[in-house]
Formats: sequence, C-alpha cells, structure tokens
Amino acid sequence: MRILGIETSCDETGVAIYDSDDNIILAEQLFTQASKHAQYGGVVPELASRDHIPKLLPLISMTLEEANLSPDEIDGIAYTSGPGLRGPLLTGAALARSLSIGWNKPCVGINHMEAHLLINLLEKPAPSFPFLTLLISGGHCLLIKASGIGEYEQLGQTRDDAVGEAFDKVARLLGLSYPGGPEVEKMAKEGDHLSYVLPRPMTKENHLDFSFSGLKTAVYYLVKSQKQKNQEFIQNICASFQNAVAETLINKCKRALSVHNLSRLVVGGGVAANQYLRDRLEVELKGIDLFFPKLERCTDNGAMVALTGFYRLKKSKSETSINIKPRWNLSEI
Amino acid sequence: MNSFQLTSENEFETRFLGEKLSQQILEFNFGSPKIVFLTGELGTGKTTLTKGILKGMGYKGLVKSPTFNIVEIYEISDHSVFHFDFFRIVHSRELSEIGIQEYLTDKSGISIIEWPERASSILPKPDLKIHIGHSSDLNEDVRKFTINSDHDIGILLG
Repeated sequence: MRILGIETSCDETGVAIYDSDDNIILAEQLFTQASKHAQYGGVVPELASRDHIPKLLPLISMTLEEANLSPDEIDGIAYTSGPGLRGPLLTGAALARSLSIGWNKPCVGINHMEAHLLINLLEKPAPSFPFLTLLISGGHCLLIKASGIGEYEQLGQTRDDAVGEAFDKVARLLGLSYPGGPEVEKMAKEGDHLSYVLPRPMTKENHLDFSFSGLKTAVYYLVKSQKQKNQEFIQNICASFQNAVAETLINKCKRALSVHNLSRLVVGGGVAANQYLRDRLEVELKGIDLFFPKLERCTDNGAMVALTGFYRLKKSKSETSINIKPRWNLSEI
Repeated sequence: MNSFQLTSENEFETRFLGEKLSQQILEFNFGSPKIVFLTGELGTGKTTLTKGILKGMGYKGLVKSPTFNIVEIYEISDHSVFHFDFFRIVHSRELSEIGIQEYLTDKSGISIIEWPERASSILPKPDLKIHIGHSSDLNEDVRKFTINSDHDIGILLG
C-alpha cells in the first residue's frame, strides 16, 4: 500500500508518501525545504508560520512528482487528528478528507504522538516490541511503554515545561536566537558542564514525571547575578544546563527501563537531534539497545503520519467525517 | 481602577493566590467572556499562578505550559478555560490563523493570557491584569504581584 501523509498539527507543514511493500518513504516534503521551489513563483512569499492552507497543495503536488506517482496510485490518505492546534489540525483534516472524496481513497486521522513513536520502524534495524520511548520536543516530554502497535502506556510526562521549551527559554535568557536547541548545543560544546550547579528536577522522586520550569528559573537567577555576561559565561551556562537536562532524562529512563523490565529505548522528538544528549545516553545506558530516528525525522514531518496511517488503515475502516482532537492522549487510542 | 500589590513568599503562596483569584474571575461579566492578562519575565510563575486559578475553579488534572501549543484548553463545569501563551508569537496576525476570536468571544470562555503584549492590538481590554516581578534582592522564591482591575476585587485584601 502507498499512503499519503499530511502533518499540520502546529508549526510545520509536512507531506510524505509511504510504501508498505518495501517499508520506505518514497517522497517527502517539508515547507521549509519547499519554499525555494518554483511552485511559489520563484519568490519566497512571507507566509505566516501556522498558515498551512497555501502551503499544502503545492507540497502535495511536489511530493507526488518526486515519487513519480499519480493520485490513482495512492491507496490511502492519513492526516494528523491531534493533539495540536485546532485551526492547523482542521486545515490538514479538511484537505485530506477532500482529497479522499475527490480521489475516492480511504482516509484516516492519526495521533501525532503515536506517529513520533512509530517513526523508528522505518529504520534498519527497527526496534522490536516492547520498547520504552522517550519523546522530547518543544511541546512534549513523555515516557511511553509501547508493547505493540496501538498498545501504549504513558509512564510519565512533564508537569510544566517541555524539554525543548526549556532550551528555547534558556536561549532567550542568554540572548541566543530561536529556536534555542541548536544554539545552546553549539555554545555548550565550548563550555565546562561542571561550572554551575543546576537542579535535576524530580530525580529524587520515584515517579516518572518530569519538571523543567524550575531549571529555567535557576538559569534566570544565574544570569541575573552575573555582571560579566561574556562568551565564556554563556558557554558554561549552556554546558551546565545541557548536563542537567541529560542527567534528568537519563535518570528517569533508567528508572523506567528497570521498573518495566525493558531493554530497548527509542528516543524521538526535536530534542532527540541533540548530539550531546545522544552521546550521554549511549555512554550511560550500557546494555540497552538505543534507537534514534534520522535527524530530519526527529521534528514534525509527513513521513511519520504516512507510516502511522498505514497501520491505522490496515486495522480500521476509512473515516467518513473530519475528525480533529486537539487534546488526544496516547493512552486513549 | 482598583490596584493592589501583594508579595508571595514561594510557589505555594503563588498557587494559593491563584486559587483565591479564581473565585473573583468567575464573578466577572455574568454570561460573557472573561479575560485575564498575565505579564512578567521568564520564570516569574505565570503558569504556576494559572495552575492555582484552575485548581480554584475545580480543575483536577495536569496543567502544562502552553508555550508550544499557544493555547491549552481546560473544561470545567459551565466554563472553558483557554490558557494562552503568546511567547512564540511574532506578528499578531498569526493569532487569527489559530482562530483567536472564536476563543475570545466564547460566552462561557475564560481566557488567561501570558505575554499579551505580543498581540495587544487585537486583544480586548482585560477584566484583570496581573504583573509578576522577581524580588529586588534576587531571592529566588519571592515574587511581587501587581493586580489591576476595573471590577471590585477588594475582597482579595481580606
């Protein structure tokens, strides 16, 4: 089966085609890459970040063209139903459903978090079930036990800020640019990660929830109390902050792996692109099989929607309505 | 305009202040939308205060930072609470894309808005404005609250 996937849950507009026979992505487009193309008239128009409407149709045409397929050769359409922002979700859902009527193909809405969780099934080797997933992004920090497709148990989540958000806000406090993740990582490379003592929130507690709001506030006070905010200071703060985040995440992953007797860990979401974190996880989780998606598939993308749509369409009938669920917990699937 | 200044010694007091404020907010403009602005630097406790407000309104679940999603929605009896965060908003027109007017005009809606200054041109006048400041002596727990409202909120001092 070939599934067209459409992602519009928040900032990114992503489209891809998944082929289940070979378990590969035939073509994929993200708006950021696409903006250079002639479809937009050669000039990059100033399209607002969450205005998905003008971006979607050109992206879909480009994806079909890249895969060298006509709509006839698509077997189904998948879109993100939630969780996410109501307006952007509705845009993707309405377009997917319209294409499904126009092309006479089945259509299904999928859960964005499940899509992040399943993306590693595209990698070789793919993780086998059961596995633990750590989903870390601008909007999320989740620990999930996946026992099979559609069988998920949420073990922990953030009680305030997401990890990526903590990176962004620390970057802001230090006068670095947005998005903060890559900037903080770059600065941290030159810094000493033991130079400042920052909290490891909730690591002394037995539950598997996270909290990153206090870490951000701790950085605020360090910055306030420092008179000379030179390059070295910024590098050291970034390194110390990254160290605190890594140790907090590793602490909770170790606990979850041991309590739930799991030996495989899949890391996903935008923060999974952080190389320092990848290295630390590899060093400190010896004996655990670690899986990371390709860098470009850590952040929101159409490939994960197309892949997840395949599994959903295999199990359930095509939907006849437009379904969006801005708040959709993974355990409610 | 009623204006008050309060000091919170720690996070727990901030939440408790939110709980007390929640009852006041519910009494604003019967049957019409209610709007609260929260201002203050990063790490002052805007989301912490919101947690208190939601708890005071009877919401028992988890309240997360809305920074990434821009809005988190909480359903409580008779009301929908829209917890906004415009931290990531660069142009106020981005908000029309997410259908901001639908939220703001919802008759049973209570909008609690962090970083409203990012979109002040398209926002209505708030029923309650709360500014949170870090303490001047850099005591990491203490926060200063400045509360302004055209409504009678004097009971807070009691």
